[in-house]
Amino acid sequence: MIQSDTRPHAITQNETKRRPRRRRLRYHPLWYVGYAILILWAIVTIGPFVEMGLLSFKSNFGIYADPFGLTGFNPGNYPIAWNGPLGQVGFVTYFVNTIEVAVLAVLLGVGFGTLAGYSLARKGGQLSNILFRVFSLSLGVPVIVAVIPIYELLESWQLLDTQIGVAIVYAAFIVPTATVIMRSFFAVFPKEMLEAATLDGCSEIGLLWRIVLPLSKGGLVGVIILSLIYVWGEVQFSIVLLNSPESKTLAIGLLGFQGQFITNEGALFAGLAMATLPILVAYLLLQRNITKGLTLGAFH
Amino acid sequence: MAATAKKLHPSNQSGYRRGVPTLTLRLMVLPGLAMIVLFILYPIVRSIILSFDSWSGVGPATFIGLQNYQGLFANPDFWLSLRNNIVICIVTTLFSITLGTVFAAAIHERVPGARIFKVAYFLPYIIPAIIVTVFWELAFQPTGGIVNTLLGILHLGSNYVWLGSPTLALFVVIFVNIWFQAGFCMIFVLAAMDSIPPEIEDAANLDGVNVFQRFFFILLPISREVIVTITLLEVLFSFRQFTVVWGLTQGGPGVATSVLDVLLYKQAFIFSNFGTGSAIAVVSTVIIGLLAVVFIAVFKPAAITIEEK
Repeated sequence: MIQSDTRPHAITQNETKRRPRRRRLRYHPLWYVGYAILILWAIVTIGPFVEMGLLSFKSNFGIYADPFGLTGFNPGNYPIAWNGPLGQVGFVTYFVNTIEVAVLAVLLGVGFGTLAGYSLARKGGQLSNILFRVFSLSLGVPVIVAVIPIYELLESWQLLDTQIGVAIVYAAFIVPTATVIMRSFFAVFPKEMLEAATLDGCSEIGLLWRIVLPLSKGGLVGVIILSLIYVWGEVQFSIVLLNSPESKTLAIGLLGFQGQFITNEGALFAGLAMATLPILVAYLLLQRNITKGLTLGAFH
Repeated sequence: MAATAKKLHPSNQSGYRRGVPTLTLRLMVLPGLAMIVLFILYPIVRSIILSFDSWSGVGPATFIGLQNYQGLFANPDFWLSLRNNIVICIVTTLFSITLGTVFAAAIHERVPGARIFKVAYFLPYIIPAIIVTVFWELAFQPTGGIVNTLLGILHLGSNYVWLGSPTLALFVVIFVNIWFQAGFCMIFVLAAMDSIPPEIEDAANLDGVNVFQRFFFILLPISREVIVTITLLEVLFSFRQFTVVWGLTQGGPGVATSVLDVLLYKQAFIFSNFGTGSAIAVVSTVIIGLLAVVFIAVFKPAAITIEEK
C-alpha cells in the first residue's frame, strides 16, 4: 500500500475532524441532569489534586479547622518534606533515587523494546509471528507471579536494595509494552521509503536511527511518558526489592512518609504534591501522545 | 521518493524482504527477548516449582508436594481474599465501563467543555495510583479527613469510620478503583466513537434521531467491539489488586479488605513462607488466565492491541 504522507497514519488519525456541536435537546430537563453528573465527576476527579495542592500549604491546625479555605497558610511544609524529619531520609533522597531508576529503566526498556518492535515490524514470517505472540502474551503476565522469583534472582546477584536491580526489573516489564506500541507505529511505515534508503546504502541501524525514529517521535514520546509514569508509581516490586530508607523510590518513600509524618499532615501533603507535579505537567503538555500510546497497547 | 523506489523494485514487499539484512534485524529482537525470558517467563516456571517447596527465603528449599496448596485452601483468609478480589473486580468493571461509555458518548457529542472533561476524567489514571491512594487514605480519615468534613458541611453526617469498618473499607477500595479506571475506559471507547464516519451520524440526524436514539442505536452498537475488549482488559486489570488496597488499608481492618496480592506479600515477605506465597501466585495467575480464556471464548473481542493477524 502506498501512502503519500510520510507520517504513519496512526498519528494523523488522531486529528479527527471536529464535529459541529448539536443544539437539539440542549434545553431538555434531562440534559441538565446529565450535565450536572458530568460536572460532578469532573469535581471528583480534579478536586483531590486541587485539595492536595491547597492542603500542602497549610499547617496541621489549618488542615483540621478549615480544609477548604486558606486558614493556617504555611509554605514551610515543603522544606520539611524535602529534607525529611530530623535525622531521617527526606523527599530529596527518594526523588534522586527515582530519577536514577527511571532513567536507567526507560533507557533499557524503551531502547530494547524499540529495537524488538522495529525488527518485528520489518521482518515477516513464522518466527516473527511467534515472537510477537510471546511479547504480547508477556503483557498479560501478572506481577504477582514474578515477585518471589525476581526477589530470589536479585538476591543471588546481590542486587537487592540497589537502584540498578529495580531498574532492570522495571525495564523488563517495560519491554513488552514498548515493543507492541512501537511495532504498531513502525508497521504503518511506507515500505517504499525504507527500501529507497536501503538502496542508497543505509544500514538497518542507520535507517532506524536516522529515518524511522525521527518520524515516529509521537509514539516514542508516548511510550517514554507511559514508562516514566509506571516507574514513578510502581509499588509491588519496589516494596519487596528496596528495603533501606536510603534506597527507596518515591512511591514506597511516600508510604514511609505516612508513618514518618503522622503528626505533620501538611508535610505529607507537600510530599504528595511534589510527587504529583512532574507527572501532572508532563500529562498536560503531552496529553495526545499519551492517549495515543495507550490506545495502541494497554499498559500494566 | 516512494515512487522511484516503486519503479526500481516493481516486485512487492515479500520479494524486497528477502534482500533485507536478516541477521541484523533478527539480532535486534534479542535484548528485549532476553529480558522477557529472564524476568517474566522464567519467574512463571520458578513460581510453579517453588509452590511445591517449603522455603523461608534463605538456605535451600525442600520439596513438600501439595502441602502449600492444602494449607492455602484450608485457610479462611485465602477464601476471603479471593472473594474480595472477585467483588472488587466485578463492581469496578461494571461501574468503570458504564461511566466510561456514558462519559465517552457525552464528550463525543461535544457537550460544552468536552475537552476539559476529557482531560479531567483521564487525569486519575495518569497520576500514579500510590500517590493518590495515600491522598485518599488521608481524605477518608474519620477525624479531620476532608470526606467527612465535606459530608458534614452538606449535613449528611460527619462521623463515618470509613477505613475502620469492614464494609465501608471495601466500599472505599472499590470507589478509589472506579475513580482510577473510569477515565481509562472512557479514552478507549471515545477513540472508537470518534472513528465512526461522520456521514453515518449526519444521515441519522437528517432523519431526526434524538440523543438517546443516537447513543443506543449508533454509538453503542458501533463501538461494541472496543467496549467488549476494554471490559476484558478491565476485568484482568482490576482483578490484580495491590497498590490501592495496600495504600488504603493494608488489607485491614483485620483481613476484611485483603486480596490475593496482599496475602502473598504478607505470607512471603513478612512471615517468610515463600512456598505458600508462590502457591498464591500460581492460583492467582491460573484464575486470571482462565478469566481471559473464558472471556475471549464467549465474547470473541476484536484485539485492539494486535491489529494484524
